[in-house]
Amino acid sequence: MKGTQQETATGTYSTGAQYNVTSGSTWTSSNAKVFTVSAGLAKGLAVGTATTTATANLPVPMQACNEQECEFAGMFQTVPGTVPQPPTITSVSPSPLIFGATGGILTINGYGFSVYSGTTLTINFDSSSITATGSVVAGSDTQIMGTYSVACDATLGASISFGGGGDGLTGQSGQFGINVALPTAPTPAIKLGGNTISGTQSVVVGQQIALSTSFSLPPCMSISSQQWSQVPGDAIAGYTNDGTVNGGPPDPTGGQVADLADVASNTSAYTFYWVYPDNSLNMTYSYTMSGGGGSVGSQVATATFNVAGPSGGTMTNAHATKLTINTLSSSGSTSPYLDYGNLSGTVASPTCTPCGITFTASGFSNTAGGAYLFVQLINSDNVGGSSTCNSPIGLDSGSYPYPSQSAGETSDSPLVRLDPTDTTITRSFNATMYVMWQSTTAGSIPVPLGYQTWAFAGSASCSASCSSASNWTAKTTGTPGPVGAFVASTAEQADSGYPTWDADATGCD
Amino acid sequence: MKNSLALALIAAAAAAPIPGQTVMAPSHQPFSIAISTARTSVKAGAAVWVRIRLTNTSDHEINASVARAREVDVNYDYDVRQVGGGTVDKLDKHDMSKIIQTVVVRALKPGEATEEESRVSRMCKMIEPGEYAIQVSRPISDDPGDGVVKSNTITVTVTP
Repeated sequence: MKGTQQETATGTYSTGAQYNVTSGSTWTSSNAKVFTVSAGLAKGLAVGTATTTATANLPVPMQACNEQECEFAGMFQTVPGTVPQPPTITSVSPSPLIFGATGGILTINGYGFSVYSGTTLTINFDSSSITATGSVVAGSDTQIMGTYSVACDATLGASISFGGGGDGLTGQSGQFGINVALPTAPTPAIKLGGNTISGTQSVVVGQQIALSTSFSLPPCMSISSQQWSQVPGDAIAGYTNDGTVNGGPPDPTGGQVADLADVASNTSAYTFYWVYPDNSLNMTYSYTMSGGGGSVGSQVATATFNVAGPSGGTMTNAHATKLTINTLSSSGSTSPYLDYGNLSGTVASPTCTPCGITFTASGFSNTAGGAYLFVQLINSDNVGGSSTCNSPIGLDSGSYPYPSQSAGETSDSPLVRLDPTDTTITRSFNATMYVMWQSTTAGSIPVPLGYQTWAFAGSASCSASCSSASNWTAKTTGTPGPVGAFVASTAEQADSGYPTWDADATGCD
Repeated sequence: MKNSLALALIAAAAAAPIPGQTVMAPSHQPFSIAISTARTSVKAGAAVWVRIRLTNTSDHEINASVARAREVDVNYDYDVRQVGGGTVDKLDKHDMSKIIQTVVVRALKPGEATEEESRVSRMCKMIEPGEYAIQVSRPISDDPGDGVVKSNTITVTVTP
């Protein structure tokens, strides 16, 4: 060989990538008398045969490449030194990407990124639902920082590859798989009456327990299901009597208890009423949110309640022992009356010594913050003889609540006027008086405390001059007054112990 | 002066009692009555209820006893008139109150109030479509000469 000849040396990664390592190698000639070689440039000196060898310096620092990429294929030996590296991604954070994220922070780690320094990168994914931009951290070859967004139409579970192509990480060899996952479901907060609560709540029987929840769903997510726990203790969904619930008058449809089982508990709001005192009652709420074809459940929120209320008392009674004939005036005229009790004066303003039966709530604890009320149901009221009336049964005279005569006390002294044309009047009366208690909390309903059934029966007869009370004779049948003992309300009773009725006891038309 | 006299005459006319009935001037009334209804429009044949609130405005206890028959407290008088002058058939109160289911003897202390509902349409026939003016009154005492206290007037529309 005469003159010079430029030789080149090519290194090949096991991945197939090839690089010119001519200048990065040490060149030697097997016979320096034939030719010498430097940086691949061979200079001929004499006629003969010799071999040129190029030994590459260390191709890639071990810490900057994976095992495969660090191995040169072919004729090169591993010696210290550097060679240009392809941009290579080794990890991405967060991983997986968060479904619905908008402008989330994205960190890409790898090496060979310095070739993009000073450039804003559009990072390409093979899903148009994911977009990201970033730039190489100043002075770094190994990190790109940027932001990313995952649109609501993204699909979960699919391996998303990015890199290569477009104006993104061109030169990146291969693809990097990354998933999209749903965000964590925020923990719900339970509200009582619109106020967020924590710790144990002190409430009272009959108080409106209007529960709702508070949390912010992540973007692109919607609630697919939600559930309140079964209400512990004895609770009802409401008590309708139309006198207080609907703000209207007593309703012939009557008084009814709304069963909690008939109220959906898979809604965001849940309202009920505890009827009896109890402690450490837990209500829980959780939900499942969905999006992108997947779903994730929330943590369970718990609220604990202590329910206070009247307990331990009774309703005493004082009652007349017979029916009597008395003269009362009404609208300016006087008439004899058959009455249970001993009444005098006027119908509008009578005096009773005694009244027929007087009820008094007694001995109940925890009655502060509320008031007693009464409800009387007529079980039977039959008048016979000269006048006949079999009253419908139900709420006494359409009066809800039954009139109190003072706090925690009421009475009844039913009357029948004895007209001059009457000669015999009989009356058989049976009723049940309920004592209830209602708190002053907003939206409360009354709760039952107990009841007492009572009755009287008797007759009045007259043979002549029946406009005068003195010509009438009263006869009492049996023992008027309470029938049996006071019965305290319990959760085990029908309708949780509430008085219920289908109609008013209207008397007779 | 003329205007003042005219106003005085109008005021006197407005407060004029029903013949044979004395209405005490509000400032001297021992109690007041306010009525209301939850349903100012009802279908013909439906029940019309009024809520009656009795308040002791005096400085002493007053009688506030209840005597209920047929869903009506017969201790009140119910004046129902069809707006436009039509008369309203009314059951005789004496007949209404032969059998009294509920008698509660009670008093109200000064400042106390009590409420109850009465089914006014049971005593007064309000079956013809139209507007009805309802007013309630209660005797001040057992002595008719003491007069009555009247409530405000409310209007209920009965629709076909």
